[in-house]
Amino acid sequence: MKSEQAIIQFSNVSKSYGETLVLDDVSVSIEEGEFLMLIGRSGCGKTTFLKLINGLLEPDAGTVSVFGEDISSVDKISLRRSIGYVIQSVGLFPHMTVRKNIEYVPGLFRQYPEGIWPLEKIMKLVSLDPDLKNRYPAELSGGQRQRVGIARALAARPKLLLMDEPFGAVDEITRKQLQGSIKDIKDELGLTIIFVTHSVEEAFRLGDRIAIFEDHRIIQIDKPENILKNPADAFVKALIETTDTDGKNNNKL
Amino acid sequence: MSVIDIIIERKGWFLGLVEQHLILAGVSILLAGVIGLLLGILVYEKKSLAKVVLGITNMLYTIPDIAMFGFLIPLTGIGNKTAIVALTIYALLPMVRNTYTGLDQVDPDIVEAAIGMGSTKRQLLLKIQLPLAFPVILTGIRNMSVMTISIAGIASFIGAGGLGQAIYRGIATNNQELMLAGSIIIAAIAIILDLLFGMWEQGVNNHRKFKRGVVLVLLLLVFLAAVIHLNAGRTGKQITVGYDNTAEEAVIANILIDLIEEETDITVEELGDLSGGETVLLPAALEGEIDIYPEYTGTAWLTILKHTEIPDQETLNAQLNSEYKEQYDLEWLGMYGFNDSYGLAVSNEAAEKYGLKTYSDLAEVSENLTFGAEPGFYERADGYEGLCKSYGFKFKKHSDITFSLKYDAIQENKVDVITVFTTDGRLSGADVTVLEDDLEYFPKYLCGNVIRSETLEKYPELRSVLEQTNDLISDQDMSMLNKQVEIDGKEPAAVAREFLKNKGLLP
Repeated sequence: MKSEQAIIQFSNVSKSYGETLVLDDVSVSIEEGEFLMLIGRSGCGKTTFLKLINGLLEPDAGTVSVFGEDISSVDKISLRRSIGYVIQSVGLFPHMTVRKNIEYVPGLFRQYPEGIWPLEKIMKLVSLDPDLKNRYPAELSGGQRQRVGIARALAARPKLLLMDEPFGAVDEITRKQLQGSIKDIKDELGLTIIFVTHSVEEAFRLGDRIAIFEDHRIIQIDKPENILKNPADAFVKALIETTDTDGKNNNKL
Repeated sequence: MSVIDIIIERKGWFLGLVEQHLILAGVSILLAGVIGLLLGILVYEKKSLAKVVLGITNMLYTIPDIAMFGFLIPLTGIGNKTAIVALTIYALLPMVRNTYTGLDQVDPDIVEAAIGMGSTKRQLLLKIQLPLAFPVILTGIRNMSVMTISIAGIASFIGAGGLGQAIYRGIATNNQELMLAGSIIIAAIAIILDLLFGMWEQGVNNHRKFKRGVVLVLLLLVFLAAVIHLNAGRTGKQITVGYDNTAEEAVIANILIDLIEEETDITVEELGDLSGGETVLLPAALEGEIDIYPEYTGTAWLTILKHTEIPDQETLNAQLNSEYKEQYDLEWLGMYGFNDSYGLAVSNEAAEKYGLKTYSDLAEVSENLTFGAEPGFYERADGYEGLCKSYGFKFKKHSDITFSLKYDAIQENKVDVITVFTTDGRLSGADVTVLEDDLEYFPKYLCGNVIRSETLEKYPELRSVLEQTNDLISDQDMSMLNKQVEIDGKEPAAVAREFLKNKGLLP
């Protein structure tokens, strides 16, 4: 499905690590403003999919276009600075305060970019108490760290946000709060978000669309209700078995 | 004298040595820190190089320190430069290894986050990897700093400054306390440094404390440097006296220092215990590292100016002065009067029995006497054979005796005539008579002061001070002074002071 507003376009993309095939001839296009959830078993290529978008990996075959340009021919450094990136383990810089962490990406530019929000505004956006700005990551709770991670990804005001299982390591209550926050932030800023998760519930709760990975391919990508109505195969069916339209499902992959 | 007394009595001297030591070690630590850090980063970025670079630094690390200095002397000469090169080479390994290990241990997730957010390689290194590797690098800096402080003690053996001088001089003059004092101060500096780094290391993981710690350590170092520098006693007017690693030159240098400091307001530094004598002192004077040093006419004439013919002493002295002035811009000023050369001594008994005063007297009775000298004397062109020819000696028998046993041998009447050095400390009080070389067979090694012309122009008041040393010390005087240092174990400085007091030149 091609679209005029496609912000990301995968065309016949394949990727292997050595002998191991990870993505096999994947074509997909993602529209601007979309909240796309990626779900599938471990090692099925979700994280690889994300890293192909910000150029941390290069495809063996096919092309990846971001913001309408084939990224094999763009400057990776400035591409990455224009894409927010939140990783699984958060990856906050332990030797920097909350403030320094959040201001990291804007600080990478030769000239501090214009139109950057004041620190307080970013912190409030991710529901962080601005008083925490001089704390070090080790002095924060798990949920606070996740929020700093999101704030850091948003600081340079990207239009696109890549999130690799960002809420994997926090407790259930915190996760619910974070899910609510990210949805609000997306709507407020009009972001496009690609979000990897292992939780079917999370996928149905947050996604405008859900991409289901299996056997190194996307076997189904569609709106949650359509997936519920027409699961593409037995695997998808099994996956969503107990899920109703409210997205209540305790299945985990 | 106890170790503590020595340190207290010679506080200024020791502080000067501490300062030199810290500068020597500090420069090396800084150089090794920078080079090691860069090499560490290089091998981390290019892993294929890691084996080679770490292998080479590892190998250099295992070279015994004294051998390392030995290897470097032909390349970089003698003195601080060589010391710094050697110390830097030693300090490289811990630095490279720890930089490499530290960078390698940084959490790969954090590195990936930083790359994924658009850091350039340089930003990644400077903002993320190096700061996170720093605790491990700091351990490397700690190890190599403490090690460098210790090894710097050996640097004095190749003419570099620092506390090794105290140890070296202690060895040269058989002064245990001095050796101990030098060693203890080196150990103390190493321990203090280790403690400071230890505190820093503890604070390094607490980022808030860490910043305060850095400031504190820096302030402390600046303060320490200032205190040491001020106490090391430097004023505007300052010259340096250099001397070789012998008791005799140490005494002479101290006499010179006392006289200059007594009569002028010039501060005198000493750069002493330079082993290698003429090969070190002359270049040091040419480079302005030292201003004045004691030199012997024989050495200057034969070894340095490489003359082969020996004219009469007056001509020699005059020509020596003009050639030194012309070639090196150095002047000879003040001849102490004693002659540290080969001489022949007979037992007092024999001297009395045969009425011996000169070598010519000896020649008349030589067939009744036996002769003893160290093996080398028979090998030299100007040794035994030439001597016998010149004076017509026909000794009954001649034998090899090592230096240390000569005086015993003549005392026990095993030999009748021995070769001696005319200012040897063991002559003083020994039961022997030194005869006069009336035909002047042996070249004379008269001791005098050599001074840079530049220094003399700058401080003309030195001229009259140096002239006071003319004929100040006889052979017997010098022998007695040497004995006090070499045999009685007194400090050269104390011996020099007492001598000058007896001569009425010091209050």
